[in-house]
Amino acid sequence: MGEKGESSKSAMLKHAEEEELNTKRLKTVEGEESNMVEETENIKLKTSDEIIFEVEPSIVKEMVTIQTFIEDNNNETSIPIPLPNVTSNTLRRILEFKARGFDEEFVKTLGMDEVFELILAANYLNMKTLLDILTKIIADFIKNKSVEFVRKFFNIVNDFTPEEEAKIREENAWAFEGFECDD
Amino acid sequence: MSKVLGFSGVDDFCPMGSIYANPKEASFFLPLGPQVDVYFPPRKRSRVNTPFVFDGEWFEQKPKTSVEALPDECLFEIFRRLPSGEDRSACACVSKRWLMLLSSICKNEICVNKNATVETIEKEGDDVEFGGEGYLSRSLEGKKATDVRLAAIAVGTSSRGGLGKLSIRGSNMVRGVTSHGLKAVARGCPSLKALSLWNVATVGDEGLIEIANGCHQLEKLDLCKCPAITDKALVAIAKNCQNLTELSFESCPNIGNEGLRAIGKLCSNLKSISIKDCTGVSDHGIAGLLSSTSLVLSKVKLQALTVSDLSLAVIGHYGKSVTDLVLNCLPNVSERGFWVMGNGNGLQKLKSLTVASCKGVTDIGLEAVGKGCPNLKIAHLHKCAFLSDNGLMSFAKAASSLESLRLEECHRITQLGFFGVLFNCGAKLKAISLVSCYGIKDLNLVLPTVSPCESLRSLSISNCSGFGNASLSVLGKLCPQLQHVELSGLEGVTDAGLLPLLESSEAGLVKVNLSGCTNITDKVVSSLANLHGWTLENLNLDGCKNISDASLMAIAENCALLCDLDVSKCTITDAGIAVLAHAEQINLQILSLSGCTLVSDRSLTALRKLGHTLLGLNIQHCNAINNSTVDTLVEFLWRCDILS
Repeated sequence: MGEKGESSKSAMLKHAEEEELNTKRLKTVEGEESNMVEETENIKLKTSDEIIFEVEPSIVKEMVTIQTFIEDNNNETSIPIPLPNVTSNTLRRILEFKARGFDEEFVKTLGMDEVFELILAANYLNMKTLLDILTKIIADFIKNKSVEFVRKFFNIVNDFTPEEEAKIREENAWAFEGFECDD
Repeated sequence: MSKVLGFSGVDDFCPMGSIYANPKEASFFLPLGPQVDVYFPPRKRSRVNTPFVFDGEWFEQKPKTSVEALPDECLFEIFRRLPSGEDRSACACVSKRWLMLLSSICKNEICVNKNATVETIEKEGDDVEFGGEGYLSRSLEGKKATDVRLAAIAVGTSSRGGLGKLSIRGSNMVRGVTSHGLKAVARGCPSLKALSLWNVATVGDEGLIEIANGCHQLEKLDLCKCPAITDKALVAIAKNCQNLTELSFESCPNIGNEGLRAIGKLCSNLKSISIKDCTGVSDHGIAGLLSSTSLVLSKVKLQALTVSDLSLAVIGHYGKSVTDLVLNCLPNVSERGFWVMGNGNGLQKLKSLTVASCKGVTDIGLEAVGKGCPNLKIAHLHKCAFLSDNGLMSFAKAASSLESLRLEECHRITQLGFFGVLFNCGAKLKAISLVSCYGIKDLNLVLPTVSPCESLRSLSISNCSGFGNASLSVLGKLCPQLQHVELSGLEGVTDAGLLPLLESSEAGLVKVNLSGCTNITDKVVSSLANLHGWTLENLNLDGCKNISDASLMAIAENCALLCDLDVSKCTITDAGIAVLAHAEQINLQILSLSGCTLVSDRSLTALRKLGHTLLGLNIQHCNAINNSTVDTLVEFLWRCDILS
């Protein structure tokens, strides 16, 4: 049964340990590589909570925002690049996700809040593949859900007047015909 | 299994944490504590309608932050990954923000499932072609015309056949239609074919430019009272909508020559253009428009513009395909303009000409037009104050193909001119109509012997109070082949004038309208019924107060083909109605007894009998008929439209 039966707190700690391990693994890999190839240096990224990550250039290339920033600054990579909109937790998640080859199942273990954080970060960093996957997952979640469910689940306020809502439902009436999809 | 437990699940154990978002829920369906693993087999998915129901998917906790925290571009990315139109429609109902974002998705932004073949898409009930074929049409008026409504239409119609026709009349005062609404339409309705905007001051160039960019299939555009739209938008439309066939602009002060020139240059399919009261339009615009689209442009309407003779010259020269021309209220056009237009020799295909309130229509001007348009069939001349009898006659002589002539408020015309037309017209003149021409006076004419006008079938003289018996009897001799006769509002006409007309008519009369000829009596109707009962289909005696039951008897006996009878305000009684009902051979479809105060409840049976064939019955102001009778009639004559 292993971890799954444990209480939340210890599970989280376990997770944190796992992540540390992953980051260290990444670093070790980098360390080995830098012995072999001298040109590619790790890029230093500083998150909003002042934690510095050393990330492989190949990964940074996917973060178009940062890549552009680097190129605009003559490839100056010695100073850590500030990411004021990304927390360390989020960046860690992104790197983890990347290390797992963007496995969708991994996302499903996260909470919706965290997925939103990831989307915001992916949008800010302009990471197309990541954004693609995350938005597809949310889209799949929204499919076949009723309007009321979506509003309640996502805390959305219904700002239509009753007349407006009636008109919109009328216009989109087919979407409410108790559609059941076949398997 | 109840719907509540109808979830789809991963074939897996529940990861840590409480299953239920709300711990209270646990007691609803399972007597288990909160921290339990439960096995979820995969299930048939059904729409989840209740909140907080665990659906076995992996997001078991409601998020604390709202999805609203995501910026527009992220939400947009999510929405465009919903390939099914139904899902997008459902999301459109969630909130205004979702609606507006969804309405800004265009066709090529939707991510279609890459692995799906055509068959699987159809099976899943997914999208029809986004934007469809344009089968649907929508019309918004007044306070219902808002951007939100437009966005809803854009999202709702896109997967259900597509929006083909949109008309917006007026706009909500508070949250009116703006460019945002049109932008939504532009994105979601690429198959839009006809757009009509009336009285929408809040829509500017931006909106119309979006439409130009998104709706390349636009064929008809109709703008009325849109002060915020300028040439910039027109140029965009001209560039992008190559299928434009009909354009209409009214009271748009900021549309002008540049726009028209662009249209002339780029819209090679344009068939019909109508420009009214646009102060920015002048000769240059008309010239630019006509000199380029000459190949197919067939209908031209210019009304209330400041254009001058030059424009008419252009029409006369370049209007090679023009079949219908309307020139209304062009104060800067003079006689010279019409003369040049006629002599331009370009209007060879012109079939119908309507000229109103143009001081340039003088004798010389009109004659030139008559000569220059050899195929002219229909001519309507309204308020041509300077046209005299001579001009009219020369015109009739020159326009040898003329079939229908209508004169309205041309006060210089006298009956000399009127008869002159009949003498001089080509062999094809079928219909002539005079409305409110006060110059017509009933003088005793001594006519030369002329051959009758055999071609004239339809005569209509309305509200020309000077027209009287003398003219009528001449007419009778001159036009023996009449089938439609309308003499309305002519108090000077009495039996003495009408009887000879009826007698000299060789072809049977089919439609006779004598409304407002208050001085005629039953004798006329008797004669009419006797002589023309075998062809008479329509008879209108509205306001002829001397008509009584005797007329109805004559009709009942003779008029087997009669289907439309109007005896409003005549002095008929129940007896007359009864006689009419008795006539087996009559199959009346429309009967009007409006204002016949002597018709009472006693006619109920008769009316019911007539009602077997009636489609329309007018019993307004029949004060002697009670409401209960009316109700009975309505109940029994369910096929008939009853006005009461």
